[in-house]
Amino acid sequence: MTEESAADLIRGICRVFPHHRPGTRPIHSYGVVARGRFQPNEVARRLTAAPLFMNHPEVDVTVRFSNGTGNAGSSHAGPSVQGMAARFHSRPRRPMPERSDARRRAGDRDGRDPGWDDVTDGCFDLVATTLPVFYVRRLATFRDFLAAAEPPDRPLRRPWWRTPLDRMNLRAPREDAHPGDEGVVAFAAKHPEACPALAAQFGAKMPESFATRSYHAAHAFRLAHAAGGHRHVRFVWEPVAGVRFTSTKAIDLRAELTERGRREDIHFVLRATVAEQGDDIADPARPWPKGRRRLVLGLLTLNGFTGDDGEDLEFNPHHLPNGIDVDQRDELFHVRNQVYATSARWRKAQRTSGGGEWSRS
Amino acid sequence: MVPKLSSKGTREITDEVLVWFLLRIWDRFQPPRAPSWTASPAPSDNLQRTMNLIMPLRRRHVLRRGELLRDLSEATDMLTVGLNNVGTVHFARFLVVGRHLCMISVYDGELSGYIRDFIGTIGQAFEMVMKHVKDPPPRPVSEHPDEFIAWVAAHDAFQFPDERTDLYPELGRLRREALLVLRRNPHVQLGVYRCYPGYSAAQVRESLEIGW
Repeated sequence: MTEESAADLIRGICRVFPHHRPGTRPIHSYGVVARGRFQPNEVARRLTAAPLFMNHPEVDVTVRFSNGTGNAGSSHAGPSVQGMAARFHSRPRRPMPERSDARRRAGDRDGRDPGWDDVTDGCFDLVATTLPVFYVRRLATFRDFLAAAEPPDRPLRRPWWRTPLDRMNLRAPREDAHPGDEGVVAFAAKHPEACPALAAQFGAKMPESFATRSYHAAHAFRLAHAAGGHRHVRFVWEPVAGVRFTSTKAIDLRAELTERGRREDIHFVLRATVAEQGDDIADPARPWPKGRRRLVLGLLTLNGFTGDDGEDLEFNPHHLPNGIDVDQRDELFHVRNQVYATSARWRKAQRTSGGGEWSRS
Repeated sequence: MVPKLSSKGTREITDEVLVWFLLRIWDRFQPPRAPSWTASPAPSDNLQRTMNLIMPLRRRHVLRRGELLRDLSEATDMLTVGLNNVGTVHFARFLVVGRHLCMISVYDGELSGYIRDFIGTIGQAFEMVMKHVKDPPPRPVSEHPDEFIAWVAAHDAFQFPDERTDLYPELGRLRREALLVLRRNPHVQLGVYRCYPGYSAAQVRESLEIGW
């Protein structure tokens, strides 16, 4: 994908979120960082020969939880999708002997090893959301989806006959419809492959915490194992605290997680669902049957919470260690490489000089 | 004295009456799609399948249920040995729920093969059970296997697909399709949890080294 195409795509995403703030991520723009460690188990070591899991009893991890929109508000209003981007670091973090003002100015946020977050060689960025699958398979279809999801210039008044017609058609009423939802539903009528993701999105409830959702990496990863051969899996993070929702209408999930993290460690189990013959490993929009084998690969423990929003962290799904890759036919996975890199570059330009693409878009 | 309904209660009853009429109309002009089960190359699609056999009791008097309990107790050895010999059953249990005798099981393979194995190994136990069931299949079941399989399929609770959107691939129509299915099927399986999906009974026995 060219830089210009990536730029077009980013602008298309930003148009879906009229409250997007230049300099923040076009989506998942409101976030909070947590740090901890991942302990892979024997099942993980049998499943993959990736040195990241084979050579270390524990791996340092940085996680950024986020909202699923491009609106970087200070509170997380309404039920929607959440994100969890996790970086498995390729080398351990070295604690620095003391923390000084100089180090803080140099960008060392919590007294340890400045620049460590930017080391991406050999690391693994696992980017996941609360949606079990993605909306579409193809880039061209994704552009159509973005166009359909753009809110209208002026809020459309719902025609008077729409509600009784929906009742006659036995359509489920939606209490918290957003502008742009009508376009998305019309898109889904022409693109049934988007239905599983949209059904999950429209059924989303307000989570009690970032720590009480499960997060799915929709793409299929190919894991090569030491004995030769490979398997395709989809990863999911499952919260040890369980999936829980709240009836509160709006909640500041960043503050909640920071407060929760001060009281207790937060744990997630990493599971892998294994593909079988006939499962599409190149289509992130197609669910795999629920009867597929599930493996537990290890435990994530998060115990470092500073309330940092992680805006300067540059995750990229293409940060893959040896032994893990994605099928070339998964078009959207490979498109994301350029899109994430371009977005990161724009954000950095905005932060450092206040200029760049955001000021032009 | 008739209790006064709250406005929420009134709304709920109004909705129920309206939906009752609407479903009759929609069922006439756009009945729900019949589920189509296609053979799958994926091994786990043929493993740990569920059967929820819901059989109306001929008589629910406590004396007759007592006789049913007695008959099942006397058939325990037959059922245990028979299911052990079938080898593809993870779990099976009998329940009396209201006016129905239910047999709930999890098995490997496809339904007609499962039932044929049943007939061959525990057909006699089923004869003992069938005399308590209203409108039973032709008996003895061992001499009417095809009719028995059809009868089982007709009394197996409708299984909603794991993915809601597999019921109908259009968001706007999904709820209506689900309501139409619920209207046609008084007994439904809403969902399944599997602790170790994708493993057959044989693989579990082998990994636990319990022999067969």
